Amino acid sequence: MSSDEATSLMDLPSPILFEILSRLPPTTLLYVKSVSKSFLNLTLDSEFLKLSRSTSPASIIINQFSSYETCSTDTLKFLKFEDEDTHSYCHDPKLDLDLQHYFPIDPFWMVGSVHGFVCFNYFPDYVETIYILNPRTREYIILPEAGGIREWPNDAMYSFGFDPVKFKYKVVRIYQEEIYDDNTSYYKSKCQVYTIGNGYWRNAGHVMFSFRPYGVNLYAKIHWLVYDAEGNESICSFDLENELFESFPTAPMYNKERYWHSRSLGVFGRCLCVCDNYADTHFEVWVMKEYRVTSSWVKEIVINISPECNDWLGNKIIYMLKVLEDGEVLFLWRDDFLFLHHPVKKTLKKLDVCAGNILASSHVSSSFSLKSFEGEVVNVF
Amino acid sequence: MSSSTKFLTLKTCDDKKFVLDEAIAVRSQTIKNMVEDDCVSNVIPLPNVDSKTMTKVIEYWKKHSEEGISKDMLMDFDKAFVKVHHSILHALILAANFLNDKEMLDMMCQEVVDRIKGKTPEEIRKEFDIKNDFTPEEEEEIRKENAWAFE
Repeated sequence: MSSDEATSLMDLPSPILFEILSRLPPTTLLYVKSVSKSFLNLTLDSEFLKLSRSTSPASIIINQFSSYETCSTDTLKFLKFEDEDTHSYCHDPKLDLDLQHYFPIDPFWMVGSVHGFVCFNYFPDYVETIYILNPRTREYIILPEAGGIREWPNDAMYSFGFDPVKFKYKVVRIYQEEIYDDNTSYYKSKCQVYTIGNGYWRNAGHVMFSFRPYGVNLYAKIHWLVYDAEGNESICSFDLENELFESFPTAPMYNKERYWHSRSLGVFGRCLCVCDNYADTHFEVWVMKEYRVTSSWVKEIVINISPECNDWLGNKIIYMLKVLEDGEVLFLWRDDFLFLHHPVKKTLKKLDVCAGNILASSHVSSSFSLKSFEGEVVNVF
Repeated sequence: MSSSTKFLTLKTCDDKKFVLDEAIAVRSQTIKNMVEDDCVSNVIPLPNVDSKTMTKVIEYWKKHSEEGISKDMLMDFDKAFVKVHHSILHALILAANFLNDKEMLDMMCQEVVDRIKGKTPEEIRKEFDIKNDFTPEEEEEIRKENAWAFE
């Protein structure tokens, strides 16, 4: 039954090829790239490139989980920072998603966003529920309960990441206990992992640290600021491929007598960074220029706090969200508002996007379907 | 069949003629448009489709137009229908695209998706007879790039 014309896959019209590509799960799509040069070109041509290129317009997803107006809560908003000239952002209110309307539960906490999949955590009365949803395809899945005990006042914390070697999406749960032993106390944090598509949680060991939210994704690892029983800070990483923990020294100038609530971990370009707010004097950002090289920490940004112009920086924790293309940096002030700072021009600007408490994360919009994960029950909202 | 049944003659690129009930042939939006525009004399030329492919297409159309056929039977038929060599699959996609039969096109594309899904690059090459034209260095480079592709 051989055909003389021998039409090959690549001879198909490109709209059809793109249609085929768009139905493939992201994982397979990566494989398709390396099949042959024409496949590579095809995927480079396609819109999927936009997703994978770091130079694409910075996009931020905002989860407003409470509001100053009583009528509206739990909203998702999408911001784009693409206009280099005006240094402003675009927010299309038409794209806002009223989560409360579709999910009559409250509050809905955003855990993180990977490839357009956004992970949410909902835990009333110690029953923790994890949702993964794609706001663009409007599909969602609900993960089974992680199980295990959770006792007051112990904390459970979630992170969401991607293993680029085995192409797996993973939700990581850290359950931390403070254990009292005679006159001393120490921390024990147990880790459980859920691989999307697998249908069950697995234990992945434990470490003797107390974890601060939030986990930060970089180089296929999730990172947290952690503290030992003596209150010493370090950075702990969890490798999403081999599921092993490691810890390494944190940014300089950590003083455990000081208020550790003022420090947060983030990603500055391709580097880890620590944001530290010295309320009375200044706010600074340390950047680890070479991954895991302790001597490579540099103080990258300093914003002096003066009562006249920016006393609103205050003594609260500040999170790094994204370095924009022209070097301007986007921060989140506690869970209240976003602000932009240009390290060279020294400009500082509050953004009024939300009237309420928010969580924010980098985000790409994608049409990747959750249906590609066999073994998950996909719902549509 | 009622006495009012109209027949159309389709002529493929290799000059083979197929006589087909119009009610079946208009599963093709392209043919339907031609019939509606009244630009059909007696023979409809299909310059992009060969007779071998057209035979398969008509087999599909006839089955899907059968009266009283159950959903399960159709599903079984479809399943068997798409199990063909990839060169025939591609010819069918091109034909469905030209004839503008969305349902059929959709099904054939899904078959390609299913054949790619979950396969490694090497398996995809084997499935579709694609030559690997990367040097080992280039391949390594792409593999590395993939590792960070979505960060």
